Amino acid sequence: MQMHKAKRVEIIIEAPMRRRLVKALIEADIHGFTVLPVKGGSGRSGEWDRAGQVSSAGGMVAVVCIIRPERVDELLEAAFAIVERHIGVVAVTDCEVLRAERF
Amino acid sequence: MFSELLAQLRRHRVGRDGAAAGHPGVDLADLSHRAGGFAEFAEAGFDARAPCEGTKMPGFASQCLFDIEEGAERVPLEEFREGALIPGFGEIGLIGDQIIQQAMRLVQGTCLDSAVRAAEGGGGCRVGSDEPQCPYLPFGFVGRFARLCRSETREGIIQRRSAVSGGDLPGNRGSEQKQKYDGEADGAIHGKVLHGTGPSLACAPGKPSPASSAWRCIDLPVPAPMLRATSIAATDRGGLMDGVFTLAANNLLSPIILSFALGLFAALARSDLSIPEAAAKALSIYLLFAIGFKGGVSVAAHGVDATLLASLAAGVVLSFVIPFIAFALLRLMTRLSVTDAAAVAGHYGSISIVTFVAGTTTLTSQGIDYEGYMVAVAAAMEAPAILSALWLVSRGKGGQKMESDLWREILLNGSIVLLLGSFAIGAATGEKGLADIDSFIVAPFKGVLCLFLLDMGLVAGRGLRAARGAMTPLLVLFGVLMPLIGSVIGISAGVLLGLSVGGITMMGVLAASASYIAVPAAMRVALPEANPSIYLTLSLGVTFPFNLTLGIPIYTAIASAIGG
Repeated sequence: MQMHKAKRVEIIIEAPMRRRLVKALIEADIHGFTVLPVKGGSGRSGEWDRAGQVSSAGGMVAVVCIIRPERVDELLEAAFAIVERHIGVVAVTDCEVLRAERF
Repeated sequence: MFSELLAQLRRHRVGRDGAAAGHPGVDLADLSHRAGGFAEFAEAGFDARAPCEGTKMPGFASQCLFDIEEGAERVPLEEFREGALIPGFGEIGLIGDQIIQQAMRLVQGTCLDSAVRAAEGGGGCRVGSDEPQCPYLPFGFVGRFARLCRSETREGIIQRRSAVSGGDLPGNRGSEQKQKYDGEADGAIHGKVLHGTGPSLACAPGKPSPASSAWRCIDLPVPAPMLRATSIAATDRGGLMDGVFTLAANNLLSPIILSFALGLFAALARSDLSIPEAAAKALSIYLLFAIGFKGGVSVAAHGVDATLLASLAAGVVLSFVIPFIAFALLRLMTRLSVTDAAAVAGHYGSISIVTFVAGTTTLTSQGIDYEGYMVAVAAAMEAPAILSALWLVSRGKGGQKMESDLWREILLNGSIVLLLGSFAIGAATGEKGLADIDSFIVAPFKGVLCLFLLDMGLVAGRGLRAARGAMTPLLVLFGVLMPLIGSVIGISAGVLLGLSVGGITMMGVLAASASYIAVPAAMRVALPEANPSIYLTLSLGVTFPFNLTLGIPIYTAIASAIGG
């Protein structure tokens, strides 16, 4: 099976910023991504759990994007403008995909 | 409903001793004041047009004589005044308006229609008549327990009732008696039947309805809240603190507060009890819809007036101003940074809709009416505080821009849209619309609120557990002090606006509450540097429980003492 190299960018960000991040990605012509809910976790501020939040303001979401390696900088620039001041994590990992034309 | 009915009654009762609709009239407030403490006031069966035997004031039967119990002395109404000793009644101590409000509440849903029609007719109630004219219908419910007698007529149902005496009203004999009645408030009906002036008032506890007529007797126990409300009135006699303690004690033992306490306990004890997020969301949608709709119905009944607009404006001003006070207090009391202090201050200028709902529920259970448009005032107070908070942060920096998306998110957040939307639906459909869906939005309301507050308790408990390190004693003190300051400002505004006791209370509740839904979301976007564990824990973990348990009773007692 022919595999193609790609980058997996995972951005975990505060729920209130989700709409803005998505908008920035689309404006950067990045249309393939997935938004996932985050149940809880632990970070510099200690443990947190989605069940302990009264509204979405206290929650986090994960935005996952598989992209061709040459477009990673473009994506990170667009995303960084949104996430810079906010709580969250941005991680880039190598991955392989089956259908390169889709990314 | 009460205000509308009261307004109509007032319209037909002009002047203390003047005439209205061709009849000798009395000033309703004066009448109700003098009737305060009178357990069984103004039976519906009195013929207002007939001269009253033995009275100096012919005209309204309710002005003159009442059969208290069989064989009791007939006592002129003039002698029913505060502090008077009336045979068979003990000392009269309750304030009439409170009693009247309770009576009105009981009338709602039972014989309101006929009472309103009676008020509109301006005439008296003729025993046995098919004419639904009985301006004193509401007052007949002022008994320890009341009994409804229904008569099917060609015009519908006219309800008459005879009050059933269970002894003196609580308040007539001081606090010991009050406790006793509180304890048995939901118990069985006791007492004797009071005699009216006609055959239609022949209902008796435990006895079947009179077989000889179309009258049907229905036992109607006076609910516990009515008895509790008498303790509000007692604040005039027993002092403000007594009223606060009584109200707080009653409040703390309500299912709503106990549900919150259960959630709080479960979370702090690390129980795995939880309300599914979707279920909690559905509960909040229900509550917002119900409270908005009922507010709209109330506005439909009263109409739009200048007070509504002034109240909205006052709400906006309060929301703008309170953050500045909170900010100054925080900077004085704590070592919070400007950004954190401004973010916290923004929360205190905005409102908590759940506290609002709890406040209205408390008022309703106490039988205190409030202006329905307070719902709109609550919605108007959501956003301005955010601007104040941003301005506090950006002072000297040329101002902080708020992106248009944030504006839209704040002004069109789901809670505001639902609240104002259901308010508009309620205002458009009015009483008829309420009648169509009241089994959905009225009866289950308190039960749903209990479940929602159980969830809020869980959330608050988890928040407190997680943010234990972020809280200092001074911050906790601020979380208790600030709502008290806000309530004083809100209550003052309510008094200046000329709102009812309920309206004044709700203005105080709104000004005292702190947001934990709309503002945190806005702060995360606009002031991400601010520490969310400080402002969320303060508003949700400290101020919200305080308002729910002690704050609302305190504000109610203050408003009752000032506005009552």
